[in-house]
Order: sequence, then C-alpha cells, then structure tokens
Amino acid sequence: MPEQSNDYRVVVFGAGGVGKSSLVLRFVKGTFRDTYIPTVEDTYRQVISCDKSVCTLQITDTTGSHQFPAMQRLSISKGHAFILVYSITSRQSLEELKPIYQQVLAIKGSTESIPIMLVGNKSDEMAQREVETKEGEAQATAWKCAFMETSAKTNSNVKELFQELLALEKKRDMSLSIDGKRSGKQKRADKLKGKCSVM
Amino acid sequence: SPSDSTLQDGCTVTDCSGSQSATEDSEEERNIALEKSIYVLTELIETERLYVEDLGLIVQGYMATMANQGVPEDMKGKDRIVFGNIHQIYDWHKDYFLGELEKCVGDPDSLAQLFIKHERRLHMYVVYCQNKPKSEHIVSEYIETYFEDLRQQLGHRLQLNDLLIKPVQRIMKYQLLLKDFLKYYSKAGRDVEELERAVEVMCFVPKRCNDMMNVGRLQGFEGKITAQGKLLQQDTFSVSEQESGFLSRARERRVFLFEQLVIFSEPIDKKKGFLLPGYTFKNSIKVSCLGVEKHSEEDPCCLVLTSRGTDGSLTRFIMQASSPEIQQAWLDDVVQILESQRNFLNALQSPIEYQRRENKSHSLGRNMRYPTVSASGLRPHSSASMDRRQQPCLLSYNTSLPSLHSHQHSPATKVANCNVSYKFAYNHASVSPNTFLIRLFCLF
Repeated sequence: MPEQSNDYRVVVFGAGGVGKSSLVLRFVKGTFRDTYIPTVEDTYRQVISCDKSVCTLQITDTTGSHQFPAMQRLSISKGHAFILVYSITSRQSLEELKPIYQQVLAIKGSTESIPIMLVGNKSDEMAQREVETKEGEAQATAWKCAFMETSAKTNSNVKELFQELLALEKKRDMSLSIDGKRSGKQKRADKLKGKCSVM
Repeated sequence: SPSDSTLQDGCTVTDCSGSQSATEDSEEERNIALEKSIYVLTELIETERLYVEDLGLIVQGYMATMANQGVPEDMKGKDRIVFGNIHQIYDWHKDYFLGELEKCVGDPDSLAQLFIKHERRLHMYVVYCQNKPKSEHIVSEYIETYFEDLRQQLGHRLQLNDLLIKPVQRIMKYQLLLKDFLKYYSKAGRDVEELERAVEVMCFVPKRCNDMMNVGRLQGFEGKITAQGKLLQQDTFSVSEQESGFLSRARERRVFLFEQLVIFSEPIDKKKGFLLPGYTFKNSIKVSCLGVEKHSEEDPCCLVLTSRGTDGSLTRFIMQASSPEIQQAWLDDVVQILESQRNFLNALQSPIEYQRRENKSHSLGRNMRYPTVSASGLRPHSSASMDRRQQPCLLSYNTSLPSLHSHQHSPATKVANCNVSYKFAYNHASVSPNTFLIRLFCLF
C-alpha cells in the first residue's frame, strides 16, 4: 500500500577538484563556468521519468564530507545510486575513491543490485593525463561497476553518464525526461510542484 | 571599504617595486581574487537562505501541523525525538545568523569573527547529531505512512528525512566555503589570520558532530553520556579481558575514550538487518580506576588498559589496534588523562602546597592569565585546539559546550572568559561541589 518513494537519490563522490560540482552543474543547468564554480549545493533536483510517471532525481554532492565518516554514512545509506568521480589528470584522485567504494559496500551490504558508475572526468585535458582509460576500466571491472570518461567542460558524455546510470537501475524503469532545455531552476520547481499535486 | 584598502595595498607594492606594469598586473590579479571571494560570500548567503527555507518546512510545516492536529496515539512522546533541537537551530539561523551573514557583504572582514564568536552556539549541531540516529529510527517507522500523509497534506516535494538531514549537511559545508573564501581573500592581499581561525573552528564543530553521532548509536549505557567529558578517541579494537588469570577470547569492540570514562561496546551485527551501525554497551572504566601498561616494543598495535576494582582486584583489557598509529594516539591520550588526574589529586590532597609550587613556576602576570599553565593539563584552552592534538582538558567539565577560551584574545579578555566558563561549569550537573571548589582555587 505505501507507494514507493517519489525520489531517486544519486550520491556523487570524489576528491576535491575532480569536477564533481561541474559535472552536476553541467547536467542540471547545462552550463560550465570557468570563473566561479559554486562549492556547495547539497541537493540538485531534476525531473525524470520513472515507471511511466514523474519523479525527482536528487543529486547529492558530497564535497567536504569525507572527513566526517559518520555523517557521510547518512548520505550513503540514503542513496539509491552512486557516481564515483576521479580526474584523469590525477592518479591520487582515483586512489582516494577506494575507501569510499569500500564504505558503500560495507553500508549497502552488497553492490550487486546498486547502480554505480566510475567516472574519469576532465577527459579534455589529454596532455595532463595520468590515468589511462584502460586503468579506469580495470578498476571498474574489479568493482563490478560501470565506467565512463567525461568532460564537464566540453560537455562530453555528461548526459550519457546519467542516462547509463539510470539504465542500471533494475528495480524501476527510469529514464531522463526529454523535454529539451530548461530555462531556470525556479520554473522547473514550479512545474514539479504542479505535477506533484496532481498525483 | 574593501576596494579602498585594495588600492592602498596596490600603492604599497608600487612604492616597493617601482615597476609600474608589474603593479598593474598584480593589482588586477588582486581585484579578480577579491571579486571571487565575493562570489563565495554570495554563495554562502544564498545557500544559507535556502537552508533556512528548508528548516522552515520542518518547523512551520511538520511541527506546526503536528502541534495543531495532534499526533497518532502510538507516536506520542516520540515526536520530540524525531525533531530534536531543530527548532532552536531554525530560530537562530532565521532570526540572527542569516542577517549577520548578509551584513558581511558590506564588510567582508567581519565574516571570520561571525563564526569564531559563535563556536559555542554552534554546539547545538553536536546535540542535533547525537540525537540523529534515534530520530532516524523513529522516522523510518512512519516515513511511508504518517509522514507521507503529512508530506502530501503540506504539498512538499521532499520527504521528512530529506529535510532532517539538512543540518548535518550544512554544518559540514561552512568550512568548505570559508576555505574558498580564505583562498581568494588571501590572494587579494587581505589579512586572513582570523579567517584561518574561523576555518579551524568550523572544521572542529563538524568533527565533534561526527564523533557524537557514533556515540548516539550506543545503546544500553545507563549513565549520562554528556557528563563524561569530551570524546577524545573512538575506534574498533580486538579486545580480550583478563581477570585473575582467566583470559577471555578476543572480541571486536568499539571503544570510546572520554575524558572521564572508557566505554567498551559491541558492534550490532549488520546482517541482522540494521542499515546503520549500532553499539551495545558492554563495559566501562572510570578514569579514577584506570591504568595503562607500558607499551610493548614487540607488539606496536597492542594497548593494555587496566581497571582497579574497589576490592583491589585488577582487570586487564588487552586491545589490538588496527595500526601502530592508532595505538600511539590512544596511548598518548590515556597517559595525558592519567597525568591530569594525578595533578588533580595532588591539588586536592594538598592545595596550598600545590598552589605554592604552581606560583613558583610562573610569573604573577602569566598566572593571572593562565592560573595553571604548565604540563598539568589543567589549563583551559580553546576547543578548536583539541583538534591539533593538544592535551585533553580536564578543566572543562562543561562537556556539553566547547570552552570559551581563546588563545588569541587580549589578556583582559582571557580573564573575563575564565569567569564566564567558570560560572557555566558550576551550573553544569556533572560538577560536584568539591571539584568546584578545587577548580575555583586553581583559577585564582
């Protein structure tokens, strides 16, 4: 009888400076800013289609929470899907994902039915590359998760990343709503409110 | 105004270097950096406004509706645990903090002080986080039923648990924003000494929140956890107990080291369907009964704590840490606690002698400021400095609030601060009249 939660929560992890916020902003707002990238916005929301109806995709940016594991645990336990981001220009940033993957595994018990995507961001910065594509793939194989290289700057693979992630969800039929460019957050929010009240 | 002083800074550089073009470059860079620092400040204020709105959904939405309509019979009494002290957090941010942040646009120099000044107030987040595990437990029972009905009635998009996590997320974010602000402000050639301290404070507050959140998952402890002093360490060990020759087999234990108590607890099996870890209380050692054995060179991960019973018996707790570093950190803190304890006992047993010794070792002037400075561990200090692994502070028994002391204040302020903290400590339930007298004596 209780209907399934109307939200689908995606949690984004990654070391500082790998471009988590840029990826999310590129996806949600369609923009990339060189001048100033906001440090925080806890939850980004996006309307998507789910089991032929509308639901909210909630993207939680965990920047800054890794130093506080007990608090970070809350985000993990609430997450339905996970994006683990490193920068292809920093081997260290891939290393730093390992304890995070272990924590997700420990909290979720098993990662088999949970959509997880390993993402090598900054694929436009080829000259500074430290992590080869096949190394990322090998790590993803070891973790039994999906893999993709992206560039928030050139908008390469960003939408695909979220599409693939939702496609990995087997418990629900999820896809990004395809209603073109949106003009602003507030407008979207109003629209969503309207739809919610109908339901 | 900010732009004026940037100009001044620019002029100073001109005087020194005498190179016109280099000055223009650096001045431009400074201006860009200053502009970016204002972006950060704007983000801080905008996100604060959203945060207050979100908290309003809880307080004016859920809490007000529940107060008006009443709650289901089986929920009576539980509703207080669901919300914890979120009303207090909401009021403070709405009525005070947001407005103060907005004022910083005209005077960015005052941003650092705003955080430093309210370190003690921000302790309400520690209280919130400690209650959070209990709150979650109750919320999860009703999230698809009662709270879902309320959500629809209120027309909210977010579920209650999405809102209740906001304070946990917010308190972790201030340090990020302050660090960014500091980075640009420093590039803009501004004075950042206070900002560095503000960052320190805002790293320390969530660290305590994090620690106390784990303590909040501890079940079965009969005493008052907030009366055990600051939490200094917590970690998982493999522990075996030895009492009069009998050695128990090693078991996994979560061990909490408070200033006045060591708690051993058993992690609740995750396989039993608990999503989040919990701990069942097993055993404890009061600091007055605590001892530590000399560290063995052969086994760098082993720490042996002892507990003296009232009958003179001795129980040994043989603890295997997961790394030598953890063992060392614990050993350092335990030794420090025991030393402070000894100093306390000395002061208790022969106060005049103690005071005379203390007076000899310091000038009068310094004693005025820090009456018990020395390695005694009795010295009051800022709670933020705890993070830098200084001595545990037994003087601050006022555990539910970080100490008010600040190293960077003028001597006059320090004396005043001592007084404030002092009255406060006396009000606190954990202080017996005896310790209070001793403490008075130590301070003056």
